[in-house]
Amino acid sequence: MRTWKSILLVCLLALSAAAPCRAQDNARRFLAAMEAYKAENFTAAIADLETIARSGVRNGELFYNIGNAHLKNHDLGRAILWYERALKLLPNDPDLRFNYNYARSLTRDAVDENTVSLTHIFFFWKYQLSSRNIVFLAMTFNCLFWCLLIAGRLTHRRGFRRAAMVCLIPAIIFILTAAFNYYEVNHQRRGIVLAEKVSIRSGLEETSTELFVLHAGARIEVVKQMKNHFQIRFSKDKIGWLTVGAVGLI
Amino acid sequence: MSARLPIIASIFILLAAAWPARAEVQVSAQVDRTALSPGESLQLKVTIDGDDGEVDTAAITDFEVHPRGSSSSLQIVNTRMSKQVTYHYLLLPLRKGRLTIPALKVDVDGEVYHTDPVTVTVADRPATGSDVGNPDREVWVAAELSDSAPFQGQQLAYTFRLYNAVKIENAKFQPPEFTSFTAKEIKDRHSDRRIINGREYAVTELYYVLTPLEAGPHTIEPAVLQVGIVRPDPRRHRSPFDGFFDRGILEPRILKTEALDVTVRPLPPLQGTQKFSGLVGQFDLATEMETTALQVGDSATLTITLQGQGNIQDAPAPELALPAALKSYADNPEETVQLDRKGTKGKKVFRTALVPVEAGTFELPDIKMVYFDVAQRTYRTLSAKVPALKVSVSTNAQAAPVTITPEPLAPAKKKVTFTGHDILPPKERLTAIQSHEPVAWYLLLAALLAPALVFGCVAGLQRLKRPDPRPVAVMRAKARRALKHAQSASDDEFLTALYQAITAAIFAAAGRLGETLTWKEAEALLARRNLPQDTSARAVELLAKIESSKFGGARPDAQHIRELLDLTRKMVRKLIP
Repeated sequence: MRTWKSILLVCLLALSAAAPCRAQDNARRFLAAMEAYKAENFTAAIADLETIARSGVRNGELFYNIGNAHLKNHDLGRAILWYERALKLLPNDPDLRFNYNYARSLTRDAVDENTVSLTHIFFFWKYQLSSRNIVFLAMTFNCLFWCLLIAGRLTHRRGFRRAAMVCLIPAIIFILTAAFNYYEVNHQRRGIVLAEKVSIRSGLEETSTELFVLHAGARIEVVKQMKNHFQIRFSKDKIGWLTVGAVGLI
Repeated sequence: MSARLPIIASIFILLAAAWPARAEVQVSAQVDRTALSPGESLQLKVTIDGDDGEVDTAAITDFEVHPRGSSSSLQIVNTRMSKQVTYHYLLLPLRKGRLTIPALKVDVDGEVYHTDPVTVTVADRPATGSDVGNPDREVWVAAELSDSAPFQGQQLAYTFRLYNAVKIENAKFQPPEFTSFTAKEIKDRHSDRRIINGREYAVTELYYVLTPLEAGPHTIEPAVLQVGIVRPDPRRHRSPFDGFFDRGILEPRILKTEALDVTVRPLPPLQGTQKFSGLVGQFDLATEMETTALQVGDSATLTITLQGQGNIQDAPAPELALPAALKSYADNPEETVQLDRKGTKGKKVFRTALVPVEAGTFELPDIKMVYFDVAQRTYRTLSAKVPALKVSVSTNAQAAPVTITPEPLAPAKKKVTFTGHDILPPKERLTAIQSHEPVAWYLLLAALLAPALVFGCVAGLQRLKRPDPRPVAVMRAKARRALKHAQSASDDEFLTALYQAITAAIFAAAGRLGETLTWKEAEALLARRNLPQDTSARAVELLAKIESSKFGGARPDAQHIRELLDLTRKMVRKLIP
C-alpha cells in the first residue's frame, strides 16, 4: 500500500513539474523563432513555431505568425493554411485579415462561386465570432434565461418571465450555432492545396484522366478519403481526386 | 415428382460437365496502329481469354496511359465455358522514334501471364497532308504562332487547327496555360474544307491573341484535344436509314499539338527626350478643331483620334502644351476596339474643350506621341498639327467676364492605392503561446443543462411546499391550528377555538370540508364513516358539551378548561390519525 502511495506521489510531482517545463521550452522557442524571423531566417522560425504548435498549443496569434513565416518563405499554400487555422480562432483580427487577403490575392485559381453568399449575410454572427465566443454566448444567454425563469417563479412577477422569453431567442440562436460549429468540425473537412501545382484526376491512379489543375493556396472541401487519396470539391461542378500529401487540412 | 427428377438430374449433369471444362487462360496485347505522328494517340487492347485478371501498365514508360474501361463476354459452347475480358487504353507517345510497349504483366487469380511486346514508330514531324496516303492520317491537330520572336507587348496570334477527314464527335479542347502571356480567345471560329494531296479535310481553326508579359525564352505547352471518331458498327446491317440515324461506334482518340518555343525580345532603349506612350503596334494620329475663329468665353472642341493595330486600349491621353490664355476641359476618351486574329484593332478618340480667356491669335504646338512600330522594329513619333486659334473680343457686352478660376487651395482628392506590397509583422507577445482549447461538447451540454436542473429543483421544492388541497388535509390542518390557538386563547375565545377544533376534526374524519356542525349532523356524518361506535359517540358527546358550555353563558373555571382541552386534544388525535 505504501509503495502504491509513493508511486502516485512521484507521478503527481512529475506531472506538476512537466507542465511549467514545457511552457518554458515553448517560450524559449518562441523568442528564438521571433529572432530568426527578424533575421529573415524563415525556415528556422517555421521549425520553432511549428514545434510549439505540435506541442498542443492552439493559439490564433501563433498560427498567424506561422502563416507569416511561410509567406515570407514563399510557401503560399502553407501560409494560407495557417492563416485559415488562425481565422477560426481570431476571425476579427485586423492584422490577420490584412495578411490573409494579401496571401489570397497571390493565389492563381479564381473561385467560381460568389464568396459573399446569403449564408454569410443571414448568419453573420457565425462568421464574425469565434467558435469559443459563440459557446460562451450560448452558455451566458442560457444561464440568464433559466435564472430569470427561477426569479419569476419565486417572485411571481411577470416581468421576469418576459425578460426570460427575450433571452430565450439569442440563447437558442447561439446554442444552435455552437451545435453546428461542432458538427462542422467533426464532419466537414476543408483544406488548402499545398503543392505548387497539382492535377485533380478522375480516379486514384496516376494514369487517371486529369480533370483540372489547382495551384498552391486553393481552398477545397474534402468529400471523402480512400487509401492515400482525398476526393475533393473545388466548386459546385469541380470534383476529383488528389493525393493526401498535396493538401493540408484546416 | 417422379417426372421432374430426370430434368433436375440432367441440369446437374450439364453443370457438372461445364464446371471443370473452363478454357485455358491466354493473354494478348493489340494496338490499332503501329505508326504515329507526334501528338497522336493509339488504342491498346489487352485481352484475357478464359478468365478476368488485373493488367499492370506500370511498365509502359514511353507513353502516357489513359485507361478507357473494359468489356467482357461469356460463352458456353458444347459444355465449354469461355470468358473474355478486354481492357482498353489510350496511349500518347512521350517521345519520337521507335517506342516499345513492353510485355505487360497480367495477374489472373494469382497466376502471372505476360503479353507480347509491341513496337510503335513515332514520326519525327507532326502529321501533314502529305501523309494522306496513310489511312491513320485521318485526324490530326496543329498549332501555330504568328511570330515566334515577338517584342515585349506585341500582340501575336495563336492558331489551333483541327484537320479531320472522318466524322468526329464529343470533341473536348484543353488549351495550353499560356504562362507568361495574357491570352484572349477570339470567339469567332473558322471552318472550311480543304483538299490536301487529293483528300478532302474539314479544317476548324481556333484563335487566341497573346501578349507577352516578360522578355526571354518561353514555351507554350501543347494543346490537347479529345475526340471520338465515328466508325460504322460492324455488328449492324446496313439499311437505307443509316445515313440519318446510325451514329456508329465512337473510337476515342487524344490529339496533342507540338509545344511552341517563343523568344520574346525586349524593347530597345528609347533615344531622345520624347516620352514613350507604351503603345506597341502600328498607329496613326489625327486632329480636328471644331472652329478656329471664336470669341473670348466661347469653346472649341479639339478632337485627337488615335487608331491602329496593337494595345490601343492602353493609350494614354496625349499631352497638350497650351498657352495660359486657353483653358482646357478634357472629356472621357471614347474607345472602339475589336479583337481579331491579328490582335486588337480600333480607335481611341480624345476630346478636349478649349476656352480662350483673352483675345488674340494663339499658335498651338503639334501633338506628338511615341510608339514602338513592330513592322519597322523601331520607335516612331506620331505627329499631328493643331490649327491656330483666332480669338476676338466678345460682342456680348452683358456677358460675364471670363476669369480663370484659381486652383482650389485644398489638394485634389485621389484614391489611395498601394505603392508597395508586404504583410504586417508577426505578433511577438508571449501570449501567443497560451493555448486556447475549444470547449468540449459535453462541457457545453453540462453548462446548458445545469441551470435547467436548478430550475427543476426549485420547481420541485415549491411543489413539495404547496398545501395539500384534499379535504382531509385541509380540515386536519384547521383542527390543529384551532387546538394550538385554544391553548393560548383568552376565556372568550377558548370555547370557540375548541368548537372549531372538534368540528374540523369531525369534518376531516368524514372527508369533507365545512365550517359549522350541530351534534346531530356530526352523529350522522360519523355514522357514515365506519368509525368505532364508541369513538363516534364520544365525539358527538364532546361536541355537545362544548356547545353547551359555549352557549350556556356561564364562564368555565380553570379546571373545566383544562379538562375540555385535554378531552378535545385526545378526540382530535383519535379522529385524525
